[in-house]
Amino acid sequence: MYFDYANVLVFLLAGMAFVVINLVLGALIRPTRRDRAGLEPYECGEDVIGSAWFRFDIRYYTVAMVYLVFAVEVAFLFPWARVLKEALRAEDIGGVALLEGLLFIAILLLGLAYVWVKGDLSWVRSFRRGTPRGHDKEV
Amino acid sequence: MADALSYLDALKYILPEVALTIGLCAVLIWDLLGGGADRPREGAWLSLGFLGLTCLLLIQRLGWQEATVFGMVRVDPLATVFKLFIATAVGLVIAFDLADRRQPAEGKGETWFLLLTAALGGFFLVGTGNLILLYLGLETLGLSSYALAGIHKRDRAGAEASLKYVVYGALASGVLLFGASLLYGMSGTLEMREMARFLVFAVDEGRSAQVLLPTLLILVGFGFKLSLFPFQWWAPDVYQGVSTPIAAFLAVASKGAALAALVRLIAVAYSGLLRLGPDTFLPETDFTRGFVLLLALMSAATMLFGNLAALRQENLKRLLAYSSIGHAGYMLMGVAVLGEAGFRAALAYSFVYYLMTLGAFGMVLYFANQSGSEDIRGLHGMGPRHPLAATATIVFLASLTGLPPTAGFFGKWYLMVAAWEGGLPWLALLTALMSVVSLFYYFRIARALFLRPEEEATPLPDAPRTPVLGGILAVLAAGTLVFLWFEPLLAAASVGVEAVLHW
Amino acid sequence: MELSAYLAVAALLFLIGLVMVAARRNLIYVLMGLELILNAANLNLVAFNRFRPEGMEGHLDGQIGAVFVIILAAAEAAIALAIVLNIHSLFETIRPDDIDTLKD
Repeated sequence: MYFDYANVLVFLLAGMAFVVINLVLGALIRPTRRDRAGLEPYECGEDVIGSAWFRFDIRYYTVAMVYLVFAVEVAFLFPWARVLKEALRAEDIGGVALLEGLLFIAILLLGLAYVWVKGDLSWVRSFRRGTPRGHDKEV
Repeated sequence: MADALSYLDALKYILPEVALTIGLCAVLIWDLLGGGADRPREGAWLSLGFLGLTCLLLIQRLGWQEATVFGMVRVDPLATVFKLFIATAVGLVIAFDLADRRQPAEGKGETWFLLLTAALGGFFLVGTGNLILLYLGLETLGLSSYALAGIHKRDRAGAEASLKYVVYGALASGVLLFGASLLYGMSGTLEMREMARFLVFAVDEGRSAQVLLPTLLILVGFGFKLSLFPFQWWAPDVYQGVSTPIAAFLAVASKGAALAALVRLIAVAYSGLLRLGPDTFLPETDFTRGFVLLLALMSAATMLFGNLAALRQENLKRLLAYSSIGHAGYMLMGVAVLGEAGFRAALAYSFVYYLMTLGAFGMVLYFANQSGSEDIRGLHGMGPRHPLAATATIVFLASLTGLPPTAGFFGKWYLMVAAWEGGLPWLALLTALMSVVSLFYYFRIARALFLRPEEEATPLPDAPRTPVLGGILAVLAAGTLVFLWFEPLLAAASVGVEAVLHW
Repeated sequence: MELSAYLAVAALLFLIGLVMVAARRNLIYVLMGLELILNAANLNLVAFNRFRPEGMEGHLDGQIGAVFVIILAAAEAAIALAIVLNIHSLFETIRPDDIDTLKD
């Protein structure tokens, strides 16, 4: 009966392996810089030590906004992914459900493409087009 | 919707929505490919093409059997007629936007994409009997409108308008959702039709207060969208701050959709509590009497506020905002009767309102293109120089006032008869009185056009000709004059109301 | 736990949200208040779904509705935040009372 929990063990091991592999890979691949910016614990563009009561760069808000929408849209995909396998096996509306899910992702990707083309993903914004910043909306 | 075939059958019912969705994706892709900045006209034609296709599909569905598809989308005459209402209004708004010479050329792609998204939200708002889908439609319409209001980034007035709109709008829709969640808790269902039974039981058992609270909260949400009295503060600021086409969109498409949804909600979820409903087997309850009185008082306050505040406005868009508040009061009068005749009159008046309000905003746009001003002063002496547009304007003003040969008269007549027979004669009399008051401020516009010397006006040296806009104004004015020919449309509204009441 | 406990929390959240919006001290506060209102409604939806009367269990309509509301709340926050950012860059303030140039 302990064997029933084997999948939990596998999950745990896979999770640990994922972390270790990524750390090692990162150490091998990344360039090592010994200057001041390179020695910061997090390379996020802000001073990481000191008071938290300072103004964040306004560009974080844009990125946060875009992230917020896309992250939350995934809430739709969880229930969908949960039942999809059984639906496909039952062969009644499985095909349609798969198609609709893909369609939803495609529309999300269209929103991503929109943000990308309009230059809201690049930290140093290009003002080439001079278009107003769009807020993506996928409903 | 158990198997794939019935799924496809169900899909046929929402084909207009599908066409609209494909259309808005197409507009977005076209904008991404660089069309928005370089060739704005193409995008407008693309949007109008898909809207036209949507309208054709809707017309095809006018005679179809009513159905509920996917468990929550209701396809019936009321929904289809109001989807046509929204789609055509958005088409005209796009045409207005093209004719508006005072806006920056940038952001056109986004404007059309957002307008189509808003139309899609409106489609679901008018075509559902499920409270969650109703909220979803309301929010899709609302969120697109907030973004539309603030589309020009460097425009201070637009930014302020969008801020006021989003704060009040989000508050109102949040309150509406809270009310809906309470109704859900009371009845255990989100379907308006099943809810009706529970509401009657609750009132019967003397739990009127439990029904009243969510009802009030939901009215807040609709009151905001329709700019009804205690929730109308945003309207003048927002209409003045946004560009004229967007103001026309907010005044007509957004309001029409909200009215249809409100009528459906009351006619279905509260069907057991209606005074003149199909199955009024119960004696009239205190709840019903109180509900009628509440709506009637709201209607009266809205009329009074809108018409009196409009008297002293100098900015045309602000004046039209107050006047549209007044008209929302007239429409609510029909709803307040809580009966079939009232609903029918309110919906019929919304068609009248569509023609004359779009016309009036088109007029503001036309003359602002010429004079560069949106104030009444900008109209001085314009009449003789632009006879066609000025004549159309007179027709719209007459109709807004409610003078006899125009649509406004018949619309108001139906409403007053419904209110009189529905036991609210004082409200009908107040409407007549307010029409007289409105004559004063509408007449000021006509006087500025024809009776004021020209030297005060400052016509732009190279004012563009906008023949298309003039044409639209002429067509709308003609429609306002021969409104009685639209009997089939009114009949469709009646059928819609009946279908909803007997659902 | 009792249903009434959930409802009390939801009602409290709703009132706090209303007060935050009405106090109008800072636009970010206002947006947070709006989110609280939506979450209060969501709590209601989920709690009512869980404690529905006999014979009507099994339906998940309230919970599915809650998922939709979460997404709409996010979209609303994104749009409202974008508008507030724009206000900040044009008006140099996010105090609602200072942003009132459109009036009679």
